Amino acid sequence: MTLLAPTALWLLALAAPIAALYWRRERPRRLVVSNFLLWREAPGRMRESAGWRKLRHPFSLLLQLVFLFLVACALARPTWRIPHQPVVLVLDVSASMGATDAGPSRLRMAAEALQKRARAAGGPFTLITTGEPPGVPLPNSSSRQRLERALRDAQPSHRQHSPRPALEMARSLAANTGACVVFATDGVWDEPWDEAICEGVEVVRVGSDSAQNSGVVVLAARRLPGGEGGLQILAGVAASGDANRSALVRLRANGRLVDARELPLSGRGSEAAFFELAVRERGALELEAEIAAADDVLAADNSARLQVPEAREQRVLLISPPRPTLEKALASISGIEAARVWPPESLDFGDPEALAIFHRSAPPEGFQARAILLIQPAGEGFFGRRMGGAREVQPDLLALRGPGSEFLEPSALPSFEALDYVPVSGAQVFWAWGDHPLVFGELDGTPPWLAMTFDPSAEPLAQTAAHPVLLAAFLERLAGGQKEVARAQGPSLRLTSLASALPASPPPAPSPASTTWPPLWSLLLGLALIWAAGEAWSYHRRLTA
Amino acid sequence: MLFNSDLLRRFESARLLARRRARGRAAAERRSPRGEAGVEFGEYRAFVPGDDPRRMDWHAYARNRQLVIRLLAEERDTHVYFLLDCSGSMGAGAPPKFDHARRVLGGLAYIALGQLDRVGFVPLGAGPGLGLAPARGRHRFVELAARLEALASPAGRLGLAESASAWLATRPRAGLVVLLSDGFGVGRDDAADALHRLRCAGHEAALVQVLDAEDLEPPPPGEYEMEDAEGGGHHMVVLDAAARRAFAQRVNNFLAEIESRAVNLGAAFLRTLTHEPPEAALGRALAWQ
Repeated sequence: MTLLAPTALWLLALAAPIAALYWRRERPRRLVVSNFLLWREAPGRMRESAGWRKLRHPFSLLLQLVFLFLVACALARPTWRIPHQPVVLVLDVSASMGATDAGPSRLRMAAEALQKRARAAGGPFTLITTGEPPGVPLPNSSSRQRLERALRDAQPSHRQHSPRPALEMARSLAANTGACVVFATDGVWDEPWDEAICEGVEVVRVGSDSAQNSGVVVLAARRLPGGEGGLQILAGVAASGDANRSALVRLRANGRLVDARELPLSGRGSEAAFFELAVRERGALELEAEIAAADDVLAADNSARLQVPEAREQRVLLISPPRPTLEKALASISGIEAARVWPPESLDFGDPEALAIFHRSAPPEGFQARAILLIQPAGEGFFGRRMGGAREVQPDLLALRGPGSEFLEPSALPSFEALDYVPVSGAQVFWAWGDHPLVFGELDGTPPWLAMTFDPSAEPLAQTAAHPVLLAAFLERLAGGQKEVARAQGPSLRLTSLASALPASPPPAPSPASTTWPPLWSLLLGLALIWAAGEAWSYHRRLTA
Repeated sequence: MLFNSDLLRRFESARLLARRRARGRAAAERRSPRGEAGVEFGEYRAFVPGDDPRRMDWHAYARNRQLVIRLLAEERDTHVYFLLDCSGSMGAGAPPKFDHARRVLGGLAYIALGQLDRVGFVPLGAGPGLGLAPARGRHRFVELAARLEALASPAGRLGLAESASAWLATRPRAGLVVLLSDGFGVGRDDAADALHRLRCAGHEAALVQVLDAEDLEPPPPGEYEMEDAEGGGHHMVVLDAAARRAFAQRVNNFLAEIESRAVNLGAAFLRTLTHEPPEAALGRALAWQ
C-alpha cells in the first residue's frame, strides 16, 4: 500500500488533544450533597448504571480515535497500486521566482510542489528549467534523490523568460514517453497568456498577485545639449500591490554616490526621476540606480546598471570659403573638432563619421557624412529648390518647433533676412515665418539633414548670444545627441509588477493519483462522519433539554 | 470561633427585645400542666382511675354528676431542651449548616437563660457525655458555648425520630424541646416523626430547620458524581434541564410537607438559611413566646 499524501498522517497527532479534551469533558464533576434522599427519587434516566458508565466513556473515546484514524488515512490517499507514471517537470526559473511572498521564495515553493507531484506520479522524472534555450538539469531519471537535488540546486536567473520553449520541449518529450507534463510557475512571463502555451500541461501556480514589490524599471542616460559634458539620467521605479509607499532612489557613478531622491509610489503605479550629472571624468561611466523600499518581496529588480560610453569629440567639416564668424562660433562649442574645407571638390567622398556644414553650397554627388547642415544652399538638390527671392523676417511671427526651439525666445531675436526655398517633398518644416520655411529637413533621413534659409553668422544674427547655441543645438540634433546614449538591460516593468499572465484558475490536468482513490475509504469516511454526527447529537440531547 | 463578642452583643439585643415582649408577666411565670403543688385553682379535668380521690371536686359532682379533678395552678420555671442534629448532612453548605445551627442554638439558649428558664442541650448523634443537663442561670451560657465549640465535625447517618425516642427514654422532665436540624434523616418524614414523638411524650416542640442554598437549588446541567454527606456512598447523576426542574419540585414538596406536619402537630416551625444572620432567625423565633 502506498500513501499518495503521507503528510496527512500528521493529523494523527490530534489524538492527544482529543483524548485530553475528552477526559476533561467526560469526567463527571464531584458534588457533595446533604442527603441523597431527594436525588434517589430522581427519574431513571438521571441515574446511570455503573456498568454502562464504566463502558461508555472509553468506548466513546475509542470511537473518536477510530474516526480520526479513518479521516487521516483517507486524506493520506492510500492506494494498493504503486504508480509508475512518467512525468516531465518544468520549473520556471525566471527572475520573478526569487520573490519571497510565498515561503522562502516562489522558486522553493514551486520546487516543493513539483517534488510532491513527482512523488504522487511515481516516475521516472525529467526536469526542465525555463530559459532560452531551456535547461535540462535532470534528464529521465527514476531516482527521487537526484530529482530532489536538482530541484534544490535550481536558482532564479536574472531575467524573465518565455515558458514556451521549455514547454514545447516538455511536450515533445511527453509525446514520446506518455508522460504527463507539470509546470510550476508564478505566471510572470515575458509574453501574455495564451491557451496554446499550457495546452496539455498541468500548471501549478505559486505566488500571489497582491505581492508588494517595487523596483527599478528604467535606467537610461542621454547627453545634455550645449557641449558641457552633462548627462541627463532617467531612473524609473514602479510598484506592485495596493499599498502606497515611498522608495529611496540612489544614483551611483563609478561606485560613488552622486544623488539620492525619495519618490512616492502609489499602488501599482510608477514614478520617474531625472538626475542631471556633470561628468568630469574622462572615459566610460558606470551608472547604477538602486532603490530601498519597505515590503519589497523581490530583490532582483532593486538595481539597474548601465555603461555610458566615453563622449568622443565630433568631427565637423565646414565646407565654406573663410567665414570667421561661423568658424569662431564652431570653435566655441565644446565636444566638436571643426575643420574648414574649400572648395567642395577637395572633399572626395566625404567622411562618414563627420558632420558636414555646407555654407551657401551643396554636397557633391556621392558625398558621405554622418549628417549634413545646409546654410542657404545654392540651386536645387536633395533638399529642394531655392526660389531666388529674399525677405525680412520679423521674429514676432516666428513659429518655432523642433531643433533649437527650446533655446530660443523669438521675441529676443532681431529681424533677419531669409531666402525663399521650396523644401523637397517629405521634408519637415521646423521653423517657419508665415508660409515661408526657415528651417526644414529630415532628421530621420539617411543621412539626416537640416537646411537653414538664413545665415546665422550674418548680421544681425551673428551679434546675438544665441548664435553659437543655435548652431550647437542643430549639430547636436543632427548627431543624435538627444538620443539616449545608454539604457540599462535587466529589470522590466513586468517583473516589478509581478503580474501573473495566468488566468485566475488554469484548467487542471487530470491527476493520475486521483484515479486510484479506493471507494472503501470513502465508505469508511462516510461512516465515520455519520457516527460523529450521531455522537454530537446524542451528547447535545443528554445535556440540554 | 462560634460566639464572638459581636454575636453576643446581638444576642443580648434579642434578649432585651424578648423581655419587652414578655413584659407584664413575671419571670418564669408559666402555669404547670401538672397542677399538683399549687395553691391557686387552675382548671378541671375528668377523673381517671389512679387519680388522688382527695383532689376530687365533690361540689362539681353534686351539681353535674360528673367526676372531675381540681387542678391547681403551680408557678414554676420551664425546661427548655435543645436537640441538635449532628448528622453528616449538617456539615454541608457554605458556611456549614452545623455552624449556623449552633449559632442559632446559642442565641435561643441565651434568651431562655435570660428568662430564668432551665436550659438543657442534647447533641443527637454526637455520642454520650457531650450534652448538658438542664440548669438555670445566665452563667450557664458560658458552659453551653464551650460545649458547642467542642463538638466535632458532624458525620454519619442519623435517624431523627429514633434519636428523639432514645432521648425520651431518659425521661426528661416535660418542657419545650427545640429540634435544630436540616430535616434530612433516614426518610422524608423522619423530622416530622421526631416532632410527633416529642409531642406524644408531653413536650412542647419546635423545629428550627437549617438549610443551605445548595439544598434548594440544583447544580447546573452536567454529569455529577454525587457524594452523600451522610455516608450514603457515591452516585452518578446526569442532570439536564428537565431533571433540574423535577428536583426543584421535589425540594419544594419536601419543604412544604415538613412545615405542614410541624404545624399540624402544634409545633413551632422556623426555617433559616445559612447566609442569614443568626439574630434574624432569633427575631422570628421570638414569635414563639
